[in-house]
Amino acid sequence: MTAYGQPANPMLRSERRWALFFLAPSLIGFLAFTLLPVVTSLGLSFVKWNLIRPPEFAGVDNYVRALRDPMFWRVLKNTAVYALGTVPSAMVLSLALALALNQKIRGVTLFRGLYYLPVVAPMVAVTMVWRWLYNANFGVINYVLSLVGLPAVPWLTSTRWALPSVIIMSVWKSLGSGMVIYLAGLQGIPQHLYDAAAVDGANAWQRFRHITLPMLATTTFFVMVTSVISSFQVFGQIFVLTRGGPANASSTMVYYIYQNGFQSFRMGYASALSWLLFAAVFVFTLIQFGAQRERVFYE
Amino acid sequence: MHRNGILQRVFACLLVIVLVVSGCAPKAEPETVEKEVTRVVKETVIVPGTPEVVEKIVTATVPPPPEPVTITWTTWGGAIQAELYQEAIRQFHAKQDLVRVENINSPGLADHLQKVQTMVAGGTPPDVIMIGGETVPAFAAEGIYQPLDPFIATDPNFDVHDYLPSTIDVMRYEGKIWALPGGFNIGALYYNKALFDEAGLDYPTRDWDHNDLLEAAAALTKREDGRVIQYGYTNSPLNMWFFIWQNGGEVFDNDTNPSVMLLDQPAALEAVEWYFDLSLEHGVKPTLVELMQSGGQQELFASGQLAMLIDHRGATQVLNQITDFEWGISELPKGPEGRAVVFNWAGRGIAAGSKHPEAAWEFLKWLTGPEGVRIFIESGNGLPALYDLMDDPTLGIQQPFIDAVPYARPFFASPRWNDILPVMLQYLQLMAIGEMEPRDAVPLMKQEVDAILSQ
Amino acid sequence: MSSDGDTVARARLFNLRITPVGMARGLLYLVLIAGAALALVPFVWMVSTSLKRLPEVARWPIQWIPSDPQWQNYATVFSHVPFLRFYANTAFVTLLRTSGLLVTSCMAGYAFARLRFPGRDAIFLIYLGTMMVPGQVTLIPRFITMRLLTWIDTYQALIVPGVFSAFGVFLMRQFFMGIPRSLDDAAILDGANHFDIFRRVCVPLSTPAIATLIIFAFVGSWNDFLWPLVITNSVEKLVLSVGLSHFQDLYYTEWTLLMAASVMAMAPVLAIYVLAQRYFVQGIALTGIKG
Repeated sequence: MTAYGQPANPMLRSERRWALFFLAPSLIGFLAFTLLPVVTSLGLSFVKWNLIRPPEFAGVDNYVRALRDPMFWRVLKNTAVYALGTVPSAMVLSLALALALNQKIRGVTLFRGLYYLPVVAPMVAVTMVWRWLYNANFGVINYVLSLVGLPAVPWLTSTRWALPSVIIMSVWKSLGSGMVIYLAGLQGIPQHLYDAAAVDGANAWQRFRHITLPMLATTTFFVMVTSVISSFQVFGQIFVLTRGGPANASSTMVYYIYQNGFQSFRMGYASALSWLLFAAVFVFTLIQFGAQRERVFYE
Repeated sequence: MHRNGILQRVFACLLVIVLVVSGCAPKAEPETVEKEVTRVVKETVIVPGTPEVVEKIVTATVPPPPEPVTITWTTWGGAIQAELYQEAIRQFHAKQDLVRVENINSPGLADHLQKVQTMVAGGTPPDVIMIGGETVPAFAAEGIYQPLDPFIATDPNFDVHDYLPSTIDVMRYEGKIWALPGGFNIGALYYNKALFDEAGLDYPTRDWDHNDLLEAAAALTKREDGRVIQYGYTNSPLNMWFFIWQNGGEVFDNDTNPSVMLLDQPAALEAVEWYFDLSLEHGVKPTLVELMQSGGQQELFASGQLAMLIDHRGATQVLNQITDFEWGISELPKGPEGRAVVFNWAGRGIAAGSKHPEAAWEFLKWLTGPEGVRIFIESGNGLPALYDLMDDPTLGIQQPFIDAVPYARPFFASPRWNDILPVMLQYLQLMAIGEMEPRDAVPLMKQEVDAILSQ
Repeated sequence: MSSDGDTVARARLFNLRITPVGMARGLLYLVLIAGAALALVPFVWMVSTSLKRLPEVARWPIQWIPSDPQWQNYATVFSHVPFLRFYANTAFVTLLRTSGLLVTSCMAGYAFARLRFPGRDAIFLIYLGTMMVPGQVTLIPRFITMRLLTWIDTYQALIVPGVFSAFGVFLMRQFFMGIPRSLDDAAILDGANHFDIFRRVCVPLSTPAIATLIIFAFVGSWNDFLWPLVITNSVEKLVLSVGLSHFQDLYYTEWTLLMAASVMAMAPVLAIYVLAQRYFVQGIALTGIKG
């Protein structure tokens, strides 16, 4: 709370009433349409429910079953690997992209538009093209590898490379989103800071490290948290590119949750799996939250 | 940017308006008014004492005709199918006044399943539910469907023996019938005549056996610079099992009530190995990924880069758009131990929570009867489950399909289908990409599947 | 400048930050163009496929330029499905959802960023927490909520839940936190209350963030599939995402029509994006002097 000073104006001491005013529009709907269903799903994790018969109370059976389920651990591992593969690389690359496209270079609008295209292109089209790129026999990627003397990789037809294939495609598809957020964040950095630093003789790297990065801290925190959350919940790409295969090598938590909830009539178990996933992500986010409160730079 | 302040206020007003309007939107309540209608009725009167019969005109008040009951019917399929469902509804409405049907169509089977289950769980179940045949036992076991036996027993206008027995057997669970078939699908061999002519080969006939198939496929597979530009053969995934059956092997001990897997027996295992060797050793069959890349096996065939395809009758919807070459259909080749072909089907049943089961039954009966089924078969949706329609030449069913019906059998039907299939897929995929040998994978598969079946 | 010339250029050649010196710029252009080409490939495939006939779609190597472009595919889309209706529905729903989301997110974000009240951080963490529960298991509870409100198969079911987003609140909170408090204090000295600070200081200085939120909200609503699928029954209420998936039929996919329709469906999203990203213009100097 060190960044908040004591308000001077007496009117501002009624902050609680102001808080109510500002929060009300969001809070009412949030409670009804977001929080209530979420809490209900927590309740569902303690029952056995096949969607039609009345739910039976099951205590912590679902959770115990999950911890003993080898498939659970496998998809959890796949999901963690996926997150580890996508989040750092996507963050670095989209920051680089945002920096590059924050310049007054020619065609910057065109470039910004082109890099955002993958975000809005339908998944069907994206996966068709990437399957072609990944083709083991003559896909472009293996062709390029062969030019530098590397052997062809069985991208989608091996259990070893299926997950990396999805990771690469996902990073490519999400670059535009990260770029947009970083671009927005970059706008908030006052030019005079850079000018002052240039006068002091700082070079580009030093300016980046001591001005850009710290001033982007709130943005970076946002990107990191939302990337982690969405990467742990990856579903669409898996479903369309590999269907979790081959042999569940690329199956992830939400895919497994979907299968249990809507294909195997085990909504209670699916809910318990979701809350285990929640626990993992929540702990991770809490750590990030705590860390950023010390490091975020305020003027 | 002062504009933003105004924009914000506009948005805020819009928001308020939306919320208020939505909250206060009056729900249109159907008016149930008891009306009595005066009608002119002709009465035939026998005048006592004379042999004459006279018609008298009498005005009488009669009760109003009953309000039609509206039921919902959930289905899946794209634009073409959706139009067929609407056509079915139109014809049904033209036939009677008591039941009105609303169709709720979802694009894909997975979407449909999710939607149906959400509706059921949310307390607004549909009345008539169409579902993939393999899910019927599960819907029965979980209590989503209600048994149809009471309706079948008491309805004089319905005879369950009009249907092919195998199509009814797969709808049974614990001795009761839970859904009715409309049509079913079996495979036949499509072949590209131009490619056969080019290679100087005779067209496939029903007298081919597995080796003839392999030889032809090898001759029809072309390579250039080490990569394949034309494949000799492929089949839709479900159609792989007939190779096992025709080799004398079995997948399960019982098709409609499996309790143990028999794929590890010698005859079956041999067939499994032979099947995967088509891709791995002989290279005549594309991998699943390569198929997905083309959009599917039918698209690959249509582009002229696949010489033979085993698929069901619905493939003609794509193949009929081919203009570059001629193609033919043949019965499947026979195996060392006889003939078999996989059939798959869809079931239509009544939801357990339906509020209008009698109305639902009236519609279901019509839909799976000759008039309803005709609509779908005519557009290429497989074969009819009704004896009467099977012999009807006006339906345009190609002969190879009709000839194969006697030896069609289901892959399997079990309430645990949705648990068994992912396990099987896992090992099948490992075998398909060559990361595991069938002799190692199949026993492991059997172990897991047997465990599921014994629960 | 050029006086620094070559030594500086060489020294900066491998830096992340690019200087207006020719060589480094050239490298930047090269990389950007290569990346843009890669980004463009699926879109090119979409357009190319939309102009083919169905049997040509699977041919590989991929034929990028169709030999016989079927421009009429674009017209066929309209006769195949009620495309205009899908468009209108999606536009209507998205417009209202985005506007509502802007209002709720900005206001709540301000509360979390600038106001002190008991439980603030805890409530915010709860907001964040709800983002971590997959939509698959909240689908049925949300459906039941709609049923209790008798909103099944209505426009309000498509719009209203989407107006409340933890993501939006989170985004605006972060950006508001980055605005220097000194500007607040200056406004306070002028006698402003919180709503004035919100309206005159925070919001105007957050146009990049608001532009970002508009983009995300628009895209999210435009491409939303699962919720509209589950909550609408009648064909009149179908949105583009669900409507277009009807080109994936029971036995095959109408690739050519699907791609033509998808190209047309993407257009408004791209348009909004191009319009909104104009706010990403460096130079909104935070000197506090604003109108």
